[in-house]
Amino acid sequence: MNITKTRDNQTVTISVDGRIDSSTVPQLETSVKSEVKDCAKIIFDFENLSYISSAGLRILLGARKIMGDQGVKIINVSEEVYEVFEITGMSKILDVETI
Amino acid sequence: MDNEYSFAMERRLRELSPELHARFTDSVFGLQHILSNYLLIFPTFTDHTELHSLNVIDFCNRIIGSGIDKLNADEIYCLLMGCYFHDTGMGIRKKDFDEFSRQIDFGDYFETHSRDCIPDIIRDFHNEYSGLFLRKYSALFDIPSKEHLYAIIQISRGHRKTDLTDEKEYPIAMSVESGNTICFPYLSVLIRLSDEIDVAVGRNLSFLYELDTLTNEKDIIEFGKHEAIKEVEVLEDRFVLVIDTDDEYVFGNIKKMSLKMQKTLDECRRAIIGRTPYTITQKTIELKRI
Repeated sequence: MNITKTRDNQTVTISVDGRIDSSTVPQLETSVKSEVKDCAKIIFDFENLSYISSAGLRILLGARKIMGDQGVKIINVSEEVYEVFEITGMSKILDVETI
Repeated sequence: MDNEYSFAMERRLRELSPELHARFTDSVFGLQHILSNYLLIFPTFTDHTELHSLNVIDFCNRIIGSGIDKLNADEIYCLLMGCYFHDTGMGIRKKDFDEFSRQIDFGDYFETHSRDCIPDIIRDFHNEYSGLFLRKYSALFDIPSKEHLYAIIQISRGHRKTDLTDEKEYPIAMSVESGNTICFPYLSVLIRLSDEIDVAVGRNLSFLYELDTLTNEKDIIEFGKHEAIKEVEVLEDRFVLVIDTDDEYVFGNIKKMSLKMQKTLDECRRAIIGRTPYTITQKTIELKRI
């Protein structure tokens, strides 16, 4: 997994390439931890994400707990990855946009 | 935590019954804020929000493994709901605490515990408060029938200190309208075990919990154990706690905890093997120090 971050004023975009699974979640957690207190909004760009595990969903939910409903957005989600949001009910909680 | 069984229950439920799956996902939405209420009573406790529920579901999927095809839609729906509801009793309001406390059989608990320490009472009987919470607020969650509600209540209560071999309270096959039956002991055991093994560092996200600010000895020990357990592996025949610590005090506490987990695992196996069509293939809790 590869993570890149860009900042535009109070908005940070975290782009993730590859898979978010048990081996890569700590890297994403560190990345989110370093941003949650210093910005107003985090956008997760999942254009190049091929898989997200349950542990990955927890990171997104955790970020939303700190940032609030409007503070987290997930964009460019593929159909395969969106299925995970849909079957777990997370698509009703998180702001998720498909490609 | 990802493996070939990730999200197996959620997928299977949608396939078998899109209607029950929709009721489940609507409930997840409805529960999201309710589950965080425990922080008002237990601000320094390990995570009991929907993040913990996701772990419990994930462990259930791994323990069920290839046995997913044996579960019917009603069982999967009740199990998923139980995974989300089992700790709702941790975050009840004072008004509900007073009302529910009048309905709980505390036995001789107050011979050795104060009636004034409400957090202790809630912690020690939270499974019973969860059951009563569900009964009172079930209309909010669009549960399809009184049989389903009863199953979810019993499964939620069953994750702690409840006799799962009592066939009156925990029937092996209760029929529902669809013609399916629900096996209470097996579903309860799955939540009890999954709850018990959610002890690794990932339970408490580092950006949600300020571990440096803890002052209560019990909380420090609890979080210390979680910090040292890097992973819980679910293998075919055992659970393995992968531990990284040089602190013998922390390791000793983990050892003690693993003995308690082994006792729970033994009880769970006794409650279902030979009595129900289901099994738990894991027999032991092992420690692996890295």
